Amino acid sequence: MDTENTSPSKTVLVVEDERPLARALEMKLKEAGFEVDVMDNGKSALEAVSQKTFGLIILDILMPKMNGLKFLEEMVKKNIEIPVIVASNLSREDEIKEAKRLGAVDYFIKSETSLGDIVSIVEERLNG
Amino acid sequence: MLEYQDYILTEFNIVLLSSIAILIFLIVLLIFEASKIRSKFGMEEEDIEHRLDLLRHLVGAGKAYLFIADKEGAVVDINPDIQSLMGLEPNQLYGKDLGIFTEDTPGSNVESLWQVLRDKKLPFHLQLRGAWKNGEEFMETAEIRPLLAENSIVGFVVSRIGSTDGEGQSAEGSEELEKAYAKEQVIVESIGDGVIVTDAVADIVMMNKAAREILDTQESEIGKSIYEILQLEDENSAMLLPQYHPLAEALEDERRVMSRSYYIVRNDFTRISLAVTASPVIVDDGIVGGVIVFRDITKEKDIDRAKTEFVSLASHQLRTPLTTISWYTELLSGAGSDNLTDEQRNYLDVIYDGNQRMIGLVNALLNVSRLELGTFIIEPEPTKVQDLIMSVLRDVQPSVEEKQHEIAFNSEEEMPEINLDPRLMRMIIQNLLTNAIKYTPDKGKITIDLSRHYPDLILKVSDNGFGIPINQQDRIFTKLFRADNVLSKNTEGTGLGLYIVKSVLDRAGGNIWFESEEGKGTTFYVTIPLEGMKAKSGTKTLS
Repeated sequence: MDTENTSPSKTVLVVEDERPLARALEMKLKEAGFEVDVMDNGKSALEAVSQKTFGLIILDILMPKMNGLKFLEEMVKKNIEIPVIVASNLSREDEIKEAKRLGAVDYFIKSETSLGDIVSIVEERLNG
Repeated sequence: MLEYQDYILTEFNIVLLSSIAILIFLIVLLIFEASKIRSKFGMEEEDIEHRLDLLRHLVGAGKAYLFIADKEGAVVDINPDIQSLMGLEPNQLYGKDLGIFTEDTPGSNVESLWQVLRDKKLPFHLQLRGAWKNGEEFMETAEIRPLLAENSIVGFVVSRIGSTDGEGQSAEGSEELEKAYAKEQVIVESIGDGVIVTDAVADIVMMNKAAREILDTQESEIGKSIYEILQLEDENSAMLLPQYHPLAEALEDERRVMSRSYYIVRNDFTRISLAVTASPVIVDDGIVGGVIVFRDITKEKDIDRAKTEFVSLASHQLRTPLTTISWYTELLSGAGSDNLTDEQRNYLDVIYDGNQRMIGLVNALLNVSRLELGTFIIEPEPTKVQDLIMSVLRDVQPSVEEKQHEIAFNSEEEMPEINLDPRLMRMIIQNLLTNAIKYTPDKGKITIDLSRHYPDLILKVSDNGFGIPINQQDRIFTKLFRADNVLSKNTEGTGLGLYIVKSVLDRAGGNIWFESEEGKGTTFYVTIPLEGMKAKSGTKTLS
């Protein structure tokens, strides 16, 4: 039904407040053939998902204005079903559990994961 | 002149009269104050006397006591020697009303004696009927005294008169006892922690000032149940049932019970965190009461939480720039392989490696802080240790091949599953193995042995590497330590691994030690109880 240029299921939303990290993700994902949108806080990300459909969201936790967990909560409230992978540099057990409880399908620690690995994860999710 | 004398006399009269009036007033005042002081002292003396009575009887130091009854007159405690003393069965007496023992008191109106006992708190003598094993009966004269606290009766004590302890002895002894107990009383009263002493059925017998302050109560709670006055909650605000109360456990299991994770809600609705220790009071193998000591640790807990938050946040802040370096090095080396010279590519590798080491260090520091704060979790589950070892061997395969080591793994045939935390166990194995690989020159030999030696599981990792110099051996398990003989050879690693491994094993009920000779090699031994690692609750896992 959607007649967008790129099929929505191949657009990735990167929600990350650290600009260099967001850019690196954007470049690598685009190189792999995906459409990428970048938001630097939970609030604008929420607006974005309300207006557009995405195939996947890569979500940071610690962000200004609205953090990642709050964003997940709001998505649940608004019944927006887009797979979310949490990318964080905290390794708090309670946060991991909370994120999964709020519907995140996966979780990785940025400092432990290479860009190549992240692209593989995204490809697996979106290309099936 | 007559006038003058008259005048003086009149003046003198006035002065005299006034002085007398003042004097009388002062005397009256003095008498009044004196009587106040006297009654104050009198009350205090009485108070101490009765408290001492309670303590004395409860601790049973006066061996002449036979029974202790509650305020209803039902027997709640019996001198365990009663069988030999009186030829009576203890089991037959619990709960029995003291009245049955006064039936035989000759020639007296027993009812009125009890009445006087209750009203005027005066003890009386009675005859107890006892029977030896051979059936021969006898009569023993005993005394019933009230147990008083804050001037009200909380129980009764029945003791023998003219026992083998000797009345003379107890008269002397009791003064010493009184002094001793007075001292103890003062000590208990001045302890900063809350102290509550109870009888064997957990009714309060004594509460010190600190206890009153912590629980925010002005009233006398004597005689009330500890479960009512010290109502505890767990972390999730769920009320603790009496049978799980630390004092109940202490009385039931006859052992000391300690915990730091209880909360109470005070009268002003504030919620505070308590560290609680409960112990039974055991005399001659019988429990005569309990003591519960508690301390407000709300501040300590807040500080701990703040520390944990800080460490988490700090490690996050450190990881972010490290991620940036890592990802951009990756982008650089990926961007068109022809654009970079071999040398440039080499430099990038070096930058990447340095960065990886820093990331490892941050992780290790995070673990160390979790260990030190005690916030890490041990979650045992049935685990096949052999499988873990095989998995780690697969992981280290590349470095083994690089150094051309020979690795052998020997395991007992029928190794059962053991209850341990697989992540922590893996970390331990990984640490020992990577050390063996690192600290052995090329073409070395490393052996792993897994066996059982009741009551433990034993893991042995030996190498024929550099060894550890004798004068450095006592520091191997300290933080950030690397022995001199390997520092220059190999700068990889954090120096925290063994510290972390040892700390984890200490908490989990295991052990680690080693044998080593410089230039010959090292063998590390790890034991874990076959019954499993001790579980440990906390808030964080080690990564």
